[in-house]
Amino acid sequence: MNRSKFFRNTLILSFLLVILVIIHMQTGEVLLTFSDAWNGLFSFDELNQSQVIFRELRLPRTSIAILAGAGLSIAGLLMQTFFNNPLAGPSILGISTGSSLFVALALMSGFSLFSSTVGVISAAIFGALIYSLLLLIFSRFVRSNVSLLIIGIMLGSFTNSIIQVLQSYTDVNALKAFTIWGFGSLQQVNFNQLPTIIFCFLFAVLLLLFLVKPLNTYVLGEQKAAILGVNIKWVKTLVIICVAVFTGLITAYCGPIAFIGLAVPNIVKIIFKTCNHWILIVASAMLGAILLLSCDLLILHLEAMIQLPLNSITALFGAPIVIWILLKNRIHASN
Amino acid sequence: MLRIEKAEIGHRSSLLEVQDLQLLPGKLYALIGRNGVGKSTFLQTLIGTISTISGDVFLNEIHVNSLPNKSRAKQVSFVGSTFNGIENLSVFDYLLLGRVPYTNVFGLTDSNDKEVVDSIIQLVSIEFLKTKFTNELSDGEKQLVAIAQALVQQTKLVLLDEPTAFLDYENKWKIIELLKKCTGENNLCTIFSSHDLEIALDKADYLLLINPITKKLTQVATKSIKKQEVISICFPSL
Amino acid sequence: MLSRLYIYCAFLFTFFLLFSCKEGEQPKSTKFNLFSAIQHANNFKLIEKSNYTELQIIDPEKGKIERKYALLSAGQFPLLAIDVQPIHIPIKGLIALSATPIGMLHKLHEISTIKGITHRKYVWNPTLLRNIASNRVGEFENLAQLNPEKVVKTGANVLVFDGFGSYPVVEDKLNKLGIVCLPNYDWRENDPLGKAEWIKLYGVLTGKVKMANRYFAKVTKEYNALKKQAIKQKNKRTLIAGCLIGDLWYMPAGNSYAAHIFHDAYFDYQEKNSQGTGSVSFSLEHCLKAHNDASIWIDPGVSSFQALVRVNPKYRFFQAFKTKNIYCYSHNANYFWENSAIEPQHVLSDYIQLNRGGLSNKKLYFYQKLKE
Repeated sequence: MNRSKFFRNTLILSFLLVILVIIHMQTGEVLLTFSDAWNGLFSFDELNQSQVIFRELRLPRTSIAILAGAGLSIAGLLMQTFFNNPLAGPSILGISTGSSLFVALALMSGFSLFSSTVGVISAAIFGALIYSLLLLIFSRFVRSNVSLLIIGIMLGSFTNSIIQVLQSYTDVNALKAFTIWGFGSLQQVNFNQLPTIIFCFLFAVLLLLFLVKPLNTYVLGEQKAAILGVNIKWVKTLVIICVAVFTGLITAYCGPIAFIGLAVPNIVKIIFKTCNHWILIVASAMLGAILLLSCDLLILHLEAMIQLPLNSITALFGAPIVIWILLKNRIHASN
Repeated sequence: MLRIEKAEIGHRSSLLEVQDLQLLPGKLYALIGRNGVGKSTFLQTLIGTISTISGDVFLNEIHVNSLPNKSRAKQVSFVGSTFNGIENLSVFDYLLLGRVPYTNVFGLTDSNDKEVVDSIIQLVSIEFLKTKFTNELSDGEKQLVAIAQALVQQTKLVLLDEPTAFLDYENKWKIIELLKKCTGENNLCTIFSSHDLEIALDKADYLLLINPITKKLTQVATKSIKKQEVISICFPSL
Repeated sequence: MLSRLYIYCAFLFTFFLLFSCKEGEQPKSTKFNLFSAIQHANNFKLIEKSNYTELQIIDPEKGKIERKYALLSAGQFPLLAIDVQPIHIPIKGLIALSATPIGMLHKLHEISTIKGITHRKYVWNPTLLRNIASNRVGEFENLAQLNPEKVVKTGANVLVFDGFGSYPVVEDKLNKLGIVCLPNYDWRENDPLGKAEWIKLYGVLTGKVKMANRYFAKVTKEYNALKKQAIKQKNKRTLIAGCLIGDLWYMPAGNSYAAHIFHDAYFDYQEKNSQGTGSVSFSLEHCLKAHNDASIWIDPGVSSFQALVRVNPKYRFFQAFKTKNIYCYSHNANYFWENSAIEPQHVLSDYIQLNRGGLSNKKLYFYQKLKE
């Protein structure tokens, strides 16, 4: 892809993103002014309703939509390149579910340390880490893309059942935050949690910087990457940490959001037609944010008629993409 | 260039025994042997991805296993028997990946890297492929491009595992001709494994023959050996 | 345009109607001297503090205080402990994500206080339905997806939800917007009068304590009178209740609210000895074996025999089915859910009639025999 085309596409994405952020921020019962936003952030007045709405409702919701969309898409991209499998993604391979399991365990443990913000995030990341490792081990034994997918789905269903069993056996009060998880939601994040979330997100982005070069060589396969001087063990560790932080963080606050991580990188590859991960990562992050903001806007606007869970909307465009990839691979194979 | 001292080669059990062997720059070596006799294992031992069971491999007098990944990648390159091409990866970008051992931690390439790629493109005469996507090339073109990437890596030791296995008659000759040309011009030490005795006898400077019965690897100059003798060493059951 | 004017007029009319029957109470301080007034309800308490009344919601599972609220008069802002949430009364508006508060507020002539409900299809109250139709009442069907901004827009400052273990996940945000969430546990009261006594809580919230007390006293008197009357009964009919949900038949447990009324109506409830205050569940096979011969069956969840057979044809094997002795409130379910809690005397009178069996010519209040 040539430069001008790349800049044009990036410009379009950035423009869309900015527009959507503004629309998303202004979607609600009250029209906010710029001063509401400014004061809400820097000279917050608890009794001013517009400021409260901006600070406690709109800002967290828009922020988490951006972060979740971007984070899950990047995690999906990392996994797709790493497993050399276009069907990989955090939700479809069961990593989000693994993360949920550990959050459930943390919340039910009854220790206040575990059910604090930091405790929940840590549990979610730890769960994602363990499930990524499990997948890594399984991927040693299966060659086919579809087999890995099936293993991931089985892992996810298995874990979901464990969660359901746990839920039926525990005090519901302890699972307060857990109830709507299955659906995915962008409403749970509070303003005071944003700094922690952003910090963890930036930490993962920092690790990501060191992954771009190895990922570019991973496109050629793990063996070729090794021959080109890439330290495979180090890359594996970094990829797993990165995926775990992105997925765990977002799962902790939004529940397992399906399909975004799988669909977005594939769409980006179609638009940008490149294997350069500098471009792929930036574009996936932007498109992921755009898609999740759009999904949430759809939810907000359809609210009066029908209350849709986030996952039903993301699946709406995610599932066809999986089928499309499978069909495309089949056509390739038969050629 | 490359020196092997009394090495036993294999994954877990010994597959192949190499007495002292010294390979020189500027020479093209053909590795000949029956299927399963350990040709690929031998090549992988030379890159250091498989360790020897006993004995040592030295690259420019440094033990291969003690080399850090990055400096090893500057000294040895490897081409497999097939390159399937990769969706959305252009030939130019693919070749640029050969510069990975030379770039910084973020993998950013500079104008020097691009010049190297351009010069190799000229050397291999694939200007017309530069902007194409690698998955859209023909088999012969793919193999050319894969070899070009190894050249972009600018290593003195170039290893090729059956580079001509999936090519037609014409392309087989072209590829090996190209290897010979680059080996001479850039003073490389090139080893390729092959089942095409005619080509190997015609183009290679030396043959590395593996006897499946004694499991020993011997080096012979091409000039001093006939096809029939090669067959009797490598394929004794014929 | 004309229709709008009409609706507006209708509103104005109802508004005046409501206004005219409003009480003249003007609480200066929020102390009600209700300390000893809660007699039957277990799941909420009103405690007199030095300058306000504290409302405590009791977790029915553990019997411990789950939440505390300070009921304050307008302009009163005392320093409160961190676990005490302030509610200024009388409240501006209330979101009722549970049916019973609607019935209770109706008794207090405070339907206009209701600013939000789950969905109009679960509402019986005609005034409330009119308010919904004219967009004065919001609908919040899914507790998990509650949109805080929509809640704010209704102008309500208290949100009552069934503490079924599902909480409004956005509770923190609602609190910051000045909306207090109040779990409703009246459905976990096992004494019918205890359930009805929750009207006092709404009386306190709306500033109609006296009216609530008066109403509750009336209910208590009527209920107890009926109870006495029931004991005189000679024949004691065997009773089963509930229906299959999935593969299990759920029946009120021996110490539940429903079992209490069954007992008061002098029924021979077949599961009277089962443990618990909620429900007990059995397989269909167990029910066929143990309860096949019950002479009367109530609450099958449908309003006609046809529908009953459609749910499960095996229901036909029960004695009560053969003798057509099945009764339910399902022909007007919303009416039952809204009002049965606050009118337990009518539930009891229905049951007493059913127990007597066909003798009465008086119409049943909530119940109806299943249609053929």
